[in-house]
Formats: sequence, C-alpha cells, structure tokens
Amino acid sequence: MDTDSILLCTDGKSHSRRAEEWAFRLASEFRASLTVLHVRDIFLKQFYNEIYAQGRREYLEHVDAELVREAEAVKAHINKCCLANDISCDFRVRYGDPLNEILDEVKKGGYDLVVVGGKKLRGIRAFRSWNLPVRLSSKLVDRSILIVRETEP
Amino acid sequence: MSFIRQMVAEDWPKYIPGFLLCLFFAFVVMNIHHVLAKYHKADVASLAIPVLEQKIGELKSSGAPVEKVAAIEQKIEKHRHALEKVGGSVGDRWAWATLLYQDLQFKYVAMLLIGGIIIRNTIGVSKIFLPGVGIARPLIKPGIIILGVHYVWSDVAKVGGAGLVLTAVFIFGTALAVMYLCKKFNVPDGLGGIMGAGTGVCGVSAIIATAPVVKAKPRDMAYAIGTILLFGTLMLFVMPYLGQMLDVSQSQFGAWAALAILNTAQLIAAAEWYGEDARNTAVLINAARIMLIPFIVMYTVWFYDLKENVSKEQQGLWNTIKSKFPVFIIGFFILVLLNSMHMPFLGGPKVAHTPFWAMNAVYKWFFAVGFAGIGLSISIDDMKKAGGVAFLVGSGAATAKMVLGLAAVLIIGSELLKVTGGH
Repeated sequence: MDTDSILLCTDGKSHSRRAEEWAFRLASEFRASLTVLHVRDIFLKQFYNEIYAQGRREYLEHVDAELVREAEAVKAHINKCCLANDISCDFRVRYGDPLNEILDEVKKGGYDLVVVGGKKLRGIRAFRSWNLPVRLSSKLVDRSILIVRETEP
Repeated sequence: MSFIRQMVAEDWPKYIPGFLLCLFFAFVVMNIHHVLAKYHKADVASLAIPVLEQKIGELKSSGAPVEKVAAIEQKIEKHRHALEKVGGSVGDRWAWATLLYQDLQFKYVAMLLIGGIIIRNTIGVSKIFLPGVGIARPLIKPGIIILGVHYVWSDVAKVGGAGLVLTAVFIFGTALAVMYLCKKFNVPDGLGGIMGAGTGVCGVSAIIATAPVVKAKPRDMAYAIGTILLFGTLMLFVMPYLGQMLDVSQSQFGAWAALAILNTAQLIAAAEWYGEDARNTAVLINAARIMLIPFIVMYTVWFYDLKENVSKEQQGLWNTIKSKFPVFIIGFFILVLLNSMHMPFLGGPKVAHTPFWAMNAVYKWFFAVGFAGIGLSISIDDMKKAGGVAFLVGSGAATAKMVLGLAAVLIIGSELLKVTGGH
C-alpha cells in the first residue's frame, strides 16, 4: 500500500483538530508529503449588491481583509503543529466554495489520501450542517478519504 | 467614449445569462398572473351580475334616482366586459381562479418568490446564472423611483412624516436596545454593532454599511446575515396571511411591513403582495426609513466610540451622509415633485396614453424581474448559517418589532397612513 501524498483539508476550527493530528501521524508513518488546504468560503461577498447597500467597496475590502487575516491565523496554527510534530508541509489557501475548491485541488494535486474533519451531527445540527465530508466522499469516487470525527466514537 | 466605457462593467457578459433567466421567469409568471386575474374577474362578474340586475329592478320599482341606477348599470357593463374577455356568460364559474388568486393570494409576487425559492433549493441555479440573478435584484430600485408618480407632496408630508416618526422610533429604539443588551451581555462589539444596525434598519443593507466600521468578523457577519434572511423570509410569507386573518387595512399593513420586515426588498414584496394601497404606504415609509441609514452608522460609531476605525475622509456627519445616503431615492422624490405640480402634459398613472401612465405600466416589470432575482437567490443553505448570539438577538428583535409595529399601526389607524395620490 503506497500513500505518497496526503491532503489535509482544515477549516482551522476545533472539530478539525483530530483530523490534523491524524494527518500528521499518517504523513510521518508513511513518510508521505503533506499538503494542508484551507478554503475560505467567500459567500459573504455575494451580499454586496443587496438593495440599498451603501459602502459596497469598503464592505468588499473589509471581507477580503478579514478572510486573509483568518487564513493567516490558520497558517500560523498549522506551522506550529508542523514544528511540534517535526514534519514539513505545504500550506495552501483557496478562496471560494469549499467543496469545489477541494475537488479542484485533489484533481490538480493527484493526492493518494484526503483527510477531513467531521462534526458529530445529530438533530438540528444535522439539519443545519452542510455536511461537507459526506458530500466530498460522494464526489471523490476514485480517491481514498478519511473522515475523522471530532470526538472518540 | 472612454466615459461610456468606464460606466460599463468590464466583465458585463457574465451577467447576461442570469439576467435573461430572470427576464424569462418574470415573463412566464406575469402571463400566468394575468390569466388568473382575468378568470378571477370573470368569476366575480358571473356571480355579481344577477345580484346587481336584481338591485336595479328593486331601485326602479322604489323610484330611486336615475343616477343611482346608472351607476349600477355601469358596474354591470364592466362585469360584462370581464366576462367577454374569457368568452363566458352569466352562470359560468371559474372557482379555481378565485381560489388561487383571491383566497390563496397566488399573485405574481408569490409565484416569483415561492417558485424562485423552489428552483434554487431543488434543481439549483447553475453557476453561469448566478451573477445575472444577483444584478436582477436591484431592478426594484427603478421600480420604486417610478412609483413616485403615485404620490403628491401632501402624501409625503402626511404618511412620510408619520412614517419618519415611526421608523425613527423603531430604528433607534431597536438599535439602542440591541446594542445596549449586547454590551451588557459582553457580545463582541463587531457582532453587537451589525446586529443593532441590521435589526434596526434595512437588514443586510445596514450590515454591509456597518460591518467595515465595527470590524465585524466573517463568522459574525454570516450569523447576522443568515438570521436576518431567515426572519425576513419568514415574515414575507407569514405577514400577508396574518394581516388578512387580523383584518389589517391596506395602509396599515404597508406601514406594518415597513416597520417589521428587515430586508427592504422583502418588505416591498410583502406589501405588493397584500395590495396596491399597502405597497404605496410601504414604499413611502421605506423611503423615510432608508434615509436614516447614514444616521444609524453615525450612531453606531458614536455608541462604540469607533472613530479610529473610520477613515479620515469618511468622518463627520456630512461625509457619512455622502457615503451612505441611498442616492436613487432622490429620483423617487423628483417624480413626486413633478406629480405634485399637476403638469397636464405628464398626465397621471391612471390617465391613459400619458408619460406617467406609460411609466406606471412598466414598474411592475421592474418589480417582477427584481422579485425573480430575489426568489432565485434565496438559499436555504445561507439561512442555515443563522446561529449563535445573532440568532437569539435577531429572533428577539424581529418578534418585538412585529408585535409592537402591529400595535403602533393599529393605534394610529388607517387614515393617517393612507396615500391619496392627490385624489
């Protein structure tokens, strides 16, 4: 079994922490190259042309600046984790729809394994969630995917 | 030439597919609306003619004045004309049309919004259409400008004046209460600021104006926008039926919608759905409301003492008004002014073959394309982003505004809120 390249998809939130740990451990065990992908959803930008909206330019600039700032925070966290695990990784940021961006990265990077974090979803949480890991696994038919739940089973 | 080129967006071709989709959707729905309206009128006529004929007989036998009889004969003539349009005769029934058009209020607004939401959230809207769908929504603006021909200055002074007082009380009351409570419960300034402005005035529009000032975080903006879209959509569909159930008059409903519905496009849709008089009142009160956006931004800056967050060129009352004032509303008031001057060559919305009549004939098309854009852009996934403290604050403020707004318009009564159009 060859696993040369691993793609870790993280949003930097708490439910991705275990997925990050798994990805670091797997990359270390398999001596595989690790790419960390962080996608910032730009859905907020679509509201700039809301009827009566004023200060559209300032709004778009503010959203852009905040998205970059948050991506930098995730990058700093990943760098810290890499140092702690004595592993190197390639950190990438994409802006757009998370599902489409991950699929595009997988297509371009040709990774052997995709690791994502998954929330424990029940009741209203399940209804409200967009459930990216499930959608991703249904689209990634030719690739192995590891969904790491936020808590132990 | 370069001036014209500057006015056209460089990537304009990307807007064409979505805009054409909205145009086509609006065209189909407007035709269904006209067919329903035609058959509903015929159904009403079929029932009304025998009753009116009997009334004429009774009036004639009791020696009633000729004018009274003539007035009823004129009504019968109108009803006969409605029957002729569908090739029917007295006794024929089109109960389905009355059920859909009158009882279920299945008018073009409802069809475009509900149809749009169903399309968007089931089969989905392809990426190629999304930019065009986005720019279809602001077409409501020229529709609102055109509606200026329905008003005279006495309406602006009476309804607009009452509306200004009502909206000022509600906007600043809500914003003050929300911001105060957020500060008290240690909600971050960014979230408190956008929720205060968003629940006070114009929903998402106010969030966009305020977010850069209070340096709101993306997650808080998503929560706030999701909450406001969720409650706006709920109100849009619930309030017209609630208004009918509570027997709220047209003008009172217009004022109530302008106070309670946060998203301005949605409030105009709800009022247009309820009726022409409701829409006239809602548009005027909304004009008063949106003019308060710069002041709510100023108020937020003052409340959170955020002067350092505002760039030098945007500081001060005049600069805030200049940068945040909804300029298009000036077009609306220019038409009100022209209509108030009663210039014969301009005519009026009901004087056939005059400029104002022609303008009035097209406003519905602007609204229809705009509503198609609104319906097709209402995504349940966006609304599902509502959450956190924003949801608690938004739901509390929305419910309070709905109940207090209804109480206020019921106390004020219909007369003060009624737009006369100079008649």
